[in-house]
Amino acid sequence: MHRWGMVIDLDRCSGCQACMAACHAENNIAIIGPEESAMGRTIHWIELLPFIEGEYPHIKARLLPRPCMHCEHPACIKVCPVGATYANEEGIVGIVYSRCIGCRYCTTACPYTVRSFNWYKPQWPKEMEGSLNRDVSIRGKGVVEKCSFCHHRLLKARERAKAEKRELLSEDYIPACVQACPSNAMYFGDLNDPFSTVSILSRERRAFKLLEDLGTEPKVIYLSEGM
Amino acid sequence: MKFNRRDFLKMGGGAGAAIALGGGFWKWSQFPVAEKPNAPGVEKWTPTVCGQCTGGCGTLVRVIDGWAVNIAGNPLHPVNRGTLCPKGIAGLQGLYDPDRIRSPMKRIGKRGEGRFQPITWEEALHLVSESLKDLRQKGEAHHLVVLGGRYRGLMRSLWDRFLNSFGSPNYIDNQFRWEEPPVEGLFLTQGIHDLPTYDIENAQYILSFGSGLLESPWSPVQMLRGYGHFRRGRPGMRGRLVQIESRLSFTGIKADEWIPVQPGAEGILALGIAHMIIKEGLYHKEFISGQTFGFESWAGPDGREHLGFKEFVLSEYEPTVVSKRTGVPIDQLIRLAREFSSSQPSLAIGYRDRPFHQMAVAILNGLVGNIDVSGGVLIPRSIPYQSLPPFKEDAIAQRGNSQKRIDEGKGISVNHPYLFARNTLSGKPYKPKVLFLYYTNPLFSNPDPGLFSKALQEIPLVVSFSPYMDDSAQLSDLILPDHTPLERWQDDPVFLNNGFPVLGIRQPVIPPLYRTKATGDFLLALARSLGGQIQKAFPWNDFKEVMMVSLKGVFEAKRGDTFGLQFDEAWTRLLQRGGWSVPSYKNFEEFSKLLLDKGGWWDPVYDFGERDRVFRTPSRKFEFYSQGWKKARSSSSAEGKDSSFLPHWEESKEAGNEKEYPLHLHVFRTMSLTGGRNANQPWLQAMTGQHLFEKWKTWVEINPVTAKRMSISDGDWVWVESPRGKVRVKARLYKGAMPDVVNIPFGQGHASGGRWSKGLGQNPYRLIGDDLDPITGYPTHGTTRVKVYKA
Amino acid sequence: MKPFLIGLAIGTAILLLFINFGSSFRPEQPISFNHKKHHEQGVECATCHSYFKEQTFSGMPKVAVCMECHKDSLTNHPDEGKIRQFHEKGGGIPWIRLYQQPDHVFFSHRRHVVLAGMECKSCHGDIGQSEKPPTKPWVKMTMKWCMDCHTKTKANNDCLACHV
Repeated sequence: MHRWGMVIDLDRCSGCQACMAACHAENNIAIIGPEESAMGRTIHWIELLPFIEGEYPHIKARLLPRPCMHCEHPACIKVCPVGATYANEEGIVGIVYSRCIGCRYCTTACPYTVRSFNWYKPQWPKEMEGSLNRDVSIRGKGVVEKCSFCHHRLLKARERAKAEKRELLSEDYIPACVQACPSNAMYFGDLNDPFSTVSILSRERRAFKLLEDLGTEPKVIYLSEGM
Repeated sequence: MKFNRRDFLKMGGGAGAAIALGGGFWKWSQFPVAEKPNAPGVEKWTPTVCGQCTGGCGTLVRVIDGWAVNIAGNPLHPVNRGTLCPKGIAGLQGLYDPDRIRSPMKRIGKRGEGRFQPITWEEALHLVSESLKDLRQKGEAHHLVVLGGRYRGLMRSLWDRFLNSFGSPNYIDNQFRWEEPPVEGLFLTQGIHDLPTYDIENAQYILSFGSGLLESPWSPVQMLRGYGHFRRGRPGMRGRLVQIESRLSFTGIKADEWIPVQPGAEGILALGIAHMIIKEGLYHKEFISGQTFGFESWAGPDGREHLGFKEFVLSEYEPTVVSKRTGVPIDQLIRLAREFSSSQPSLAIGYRDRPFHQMAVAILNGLVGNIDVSGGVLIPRSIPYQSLPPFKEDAIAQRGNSQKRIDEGKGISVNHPYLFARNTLSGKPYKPKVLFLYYTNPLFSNPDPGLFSKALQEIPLVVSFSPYMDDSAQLSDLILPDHTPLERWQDDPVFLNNGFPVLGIRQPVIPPLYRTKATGDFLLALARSLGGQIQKAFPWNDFKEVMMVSLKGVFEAKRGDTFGLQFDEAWTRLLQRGGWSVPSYKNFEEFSKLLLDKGGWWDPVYDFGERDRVFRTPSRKFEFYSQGWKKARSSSSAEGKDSSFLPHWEESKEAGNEKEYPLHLHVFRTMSLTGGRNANQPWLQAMTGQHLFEKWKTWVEINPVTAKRMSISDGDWVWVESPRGKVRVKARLYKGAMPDVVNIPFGQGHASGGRWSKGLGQNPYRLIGDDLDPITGYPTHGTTRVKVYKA
Repeated sequence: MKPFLIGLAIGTAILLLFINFGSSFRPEQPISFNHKKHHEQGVECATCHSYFKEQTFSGMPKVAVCMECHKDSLTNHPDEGKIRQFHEKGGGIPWIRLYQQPDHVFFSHRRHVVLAGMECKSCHGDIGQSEKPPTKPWVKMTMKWCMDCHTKTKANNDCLACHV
């Protein structure tokens, strides 16, 4: 059984936000215009978060790309009253949109604020409609959405591997953000395999997880900057 | 059974309730929560070159049922190796921009009113061709001006050829921008008029003097890939980055050390570091004595003694002087000098500041001998295009070509877009009659856009080739929309950080969506309609044919290969080193097919030590004393002081006095919007200022202490006013702003354009004046002062 | 109260009539296609439904494929001429799709046919032996119906497998 996980090397990351754009393109994320954005209704499945500390001129700043952590013990699942969000056998936390009733308990419960709510039915000008990704559904009004580790890509990769009569290799499946990352700061793979790149990196001295003390056990691991 | 009225009403009520409840339930049970975007279809991936900026990344576009559905990096393309930046991914939104111009258009309202009428291409061609014929008849061929922007490749040769055969010397390059690599610095030291190449993958230490390495490099993906490698790509070695800049930019955040200095003061800091390197004897003595000119004092052919750089910098840029001006402590200065010279190879990278400030940064690389070495400054070889056949100029063309350029000035480059604008207004030496705008939008993206707005009003016929309604197109008489990059043929010659030349091929991934036309094709049609020698100079049917003719030279060069995997790269190099060239193609047909399948051609070899290529200065050496510039100057004026040919720093004249305008203005660019060309793409608008969670608008960054003094709180709307004008923007307190500098991002404030860009935010370039640097002919960076007050 | 109940009954009747009318819609295909005849002539499923092995969808027969055999008169069936008419008009044959998944369901033919090795029969019945185009799906595809099979064959029963 695979245990999919991601490693983000902050020393390589340049904060360019290609991951954010790639995610929008891959997952048909709604266009949230200026007025709605001002109300904090933007939707990003992965977002670059700034942490700026200290006082001028001695500032310690950090930029952190934050996808869904796909926790081992996710807070969001426990609060969902309808079972719309769940963790599958491989540890990917998913949402079944047709079950979601839009109560947003999960949005509040998630300590990493990865979940967004669709306040309106997403709309695209008709000139753009055909350019949406056909492998991913369009969410409706009133459902919560978040990063799925591009699970549809996993299914496709499995399909390909099976058709070629071979085992699934870890390079068969990477999410759109990892594929786009220009400075190769993101790694993706199987945490259960002790020799996979992500496993090896996750044991590095620089490795840390976000809000570790909450006991959520995220499957997204960061490598800090510097030596 | 008898019904009375009351019963009847009850009955109606019952039926209503049944329908309402039941119908409601039925409807509810049918209500879909998620929607499938489109019916599935058969997919195809087409390699092409991204056109969102000048980076030249190879992309693969996923096409399903005639729709481009996704853009990914082309894993074979050496510029980006399968990765992309946010702009590249948003290329889809550039293609499917709902506000694109869908056909040629003719102005029907007043200038700038924005009322246009669709016309046919025949009519468009007729209109342009008639007015051009008219110019030639009147002997005014040189009154045709082409203002060209940021693009590469054969289109430029085509424009030059067209103007030459037509009879106008006026192709004006409007590419200059402050955020570019220091072009003038390279010219002054190495005599080359091109972008310098920095081998950051192999460097160990980068001293960045205000360069936007991580947010506005000319080829973002390449730079970011290089950055990743610089940091973590070499086991046991981690590159160190120091950022010297007035604002804590993303580069500053990611750097190991951020040293704030006022905008425009980076140059004097570089000279201070040079002083310390020389004083402590840390420079590369072998390189200095063998391959440089002007380091020590020297005597000219006339026996006159000239000042050497060493003596000059030791006497003029004492650490106390530099420290006083920049606020950087002396011990930090000494430390930087020692780090820079001991962590080899090291690179000093500047921006397009004033030319001698650029030179001050460039000579740091010379001092430590990092010119034409791995991890240093490299000069790539050019692409071996086959040149287009010669052609005859007729009498009218000869007369026109011998006229003075409209923008004649005294700069390093012959192109002076600002002088063009000023001379258009003054009518001296003459007023242009027809202006073509190709890939440029001076009414938005040049500092002081108002000047260009006034100039354009003076020109009887302005033709824009923009596929989008930008501010300059809005003021044109004719708009002849180009295809967007994903719909057209184009070559894209580019080079890598390690100096390898690369030729990407842009091919259409889908047929044109609207009645647009590739400008190259239009130019060929225009030449045909003008007849005579002009027609004869352009014997090709379309731009693709021109491209294929030129590509013959690449095929015949017997170098390089079409793109391949990294393994192939090593193999090609090995063979070529041994004097073998075994490309994967045998004849031209195979070559051109492979070009399109793989995405392009490259030559994965860098030849070190070809001094004629690397040093094109009069001395054929790296010059601390710019003889090239001296030579260019001597025709126009008497011999100047020695110090004016040595890297030096001069205080720039500021616009606005300190009392009335207490703050400096720094305009910066973000990764997502960069030049504002992509502003109508909502994915990019949604992430413009992630460090402050700003999006869709313009903000001004103010240091919290300064803001408190002015009683401005975070999120207030404020006016930022300079002697030139004022803009209303949102105040954001940012600890990464210097106390006396405010920062405004560029990219918003389009007066015209699409639904996602028009009227959003403000253009800070409206605050900047046209005080030109005499050598670049472009406004000086960082000289505008502002005041900020609540709106 | 009685009139109210009568009204309720009438209302329900009207409602059912409407819903029934909606669901009893029996589409008529533009061409009365005989699967059996074609099958007997040795025409494979994939000849007309050309994508079911590679794609999520199977694809409707394209008029160009029909024209390969029916370019000239092959039979004396009255519908044969229609093929050539559709061909001349361009734009293909307006087949009516009977099998449609709800919008929140992702279904892949390739996954079922190639990877799971299922036969067309399992979902489409004995379509190969039919002489007339069916007017309604062979089976009502409810989630229960899908899951029964998924459970029985121990296929993937992760929600995300179908609800992406």
